[in-house]
Amino acid sequence: MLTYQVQRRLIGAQTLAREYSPSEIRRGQRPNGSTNPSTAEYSALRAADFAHYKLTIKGMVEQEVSFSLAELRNMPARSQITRHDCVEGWSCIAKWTGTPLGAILDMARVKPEARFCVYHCYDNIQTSLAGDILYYESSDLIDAYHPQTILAYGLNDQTLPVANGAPIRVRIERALGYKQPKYVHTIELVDDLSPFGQGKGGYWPDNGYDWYGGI
Amino acid sequence: MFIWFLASFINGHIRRDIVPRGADIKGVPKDVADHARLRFHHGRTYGPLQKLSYFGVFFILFPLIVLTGLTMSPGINSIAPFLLDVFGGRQTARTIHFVVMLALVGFFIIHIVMVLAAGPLNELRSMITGWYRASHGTSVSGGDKP
Repeated sequence: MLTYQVQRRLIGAQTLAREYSPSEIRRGQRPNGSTNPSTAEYSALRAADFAHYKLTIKGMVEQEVSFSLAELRNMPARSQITRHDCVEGWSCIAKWTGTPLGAILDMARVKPEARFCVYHCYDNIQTSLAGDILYYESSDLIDAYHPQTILAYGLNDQTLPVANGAPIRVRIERALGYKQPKYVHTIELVDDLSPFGQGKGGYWPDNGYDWYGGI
Repeated sequence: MFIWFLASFINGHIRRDIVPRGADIKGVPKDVADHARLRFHHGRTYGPLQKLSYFGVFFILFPLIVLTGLTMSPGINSIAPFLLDVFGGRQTARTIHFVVMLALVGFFIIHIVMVLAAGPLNELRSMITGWYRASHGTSVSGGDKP
């Protein structure tokens, strides 16, 4: 929390993460975490090549909106070659293509009292006795509206593979890899993170990781 | 630690006691030989090896570990991308960070062993009170007085 406060004061809301040249992409993007979600819902979507996929923006918005994958792909896109930093220590440079999240949030017209975006995902990162634990993450609105924050559907000029989060993965480029939720289906605007999961704002934060993740 | 650094710059502790001088560099071979024979001199000032290792820790290892640590932060990378260029990228910074960590752990172990070898009670008293029992034959100016 202290790091979050210091970095938010020190680093401008629009300060960009470094972008690399194509020659610096040395290998494919290394998949990690969930790489093959097995929930029935996701399997059905995948079988139809995500034709029935919908991304929903809900919660503290003036108007709840949903977009199909085709609609998202037809919106103005942004491509960026950035470095993915895993909390495990490795990094990987890759080209990400997607729709800027800020523009989509503006279409839903975020209410002024909203403070966080919660990203709900399809993947069952963990299976417990009580059933599947689904991945989720969250960010503040500064990260959500950051110019490099995109809903990525393309990776290294290809369609985003399942292992890397198909059909949609959020890229928040100034944070660690676990803040880049994969298999996202709903983005919920909230003013409080405590009702979700164990209340820490994400699957990994619930398991002890720092919520901010910009280290 | 930052307060200690600032205070030590102002009160001259760093200039007077930590920064190695020509005489210290010349004294290194003899000091190495003495340490190898486990003959320790208890003087008022730090010995040549002691000064060199303190200087290395304060002015090389500490800054390096902090800067390479910041280089591994994606947040800091956005505001200070030059750090990536200075250290040759995040993974090189990570390697340096790790090596510096090993050096600091090594320093810590040797430091504690030397405190024990040099007489822990005398050393602890000097840390807290400034009074220190020097070896026989130490000149008065370089003697017991703090």
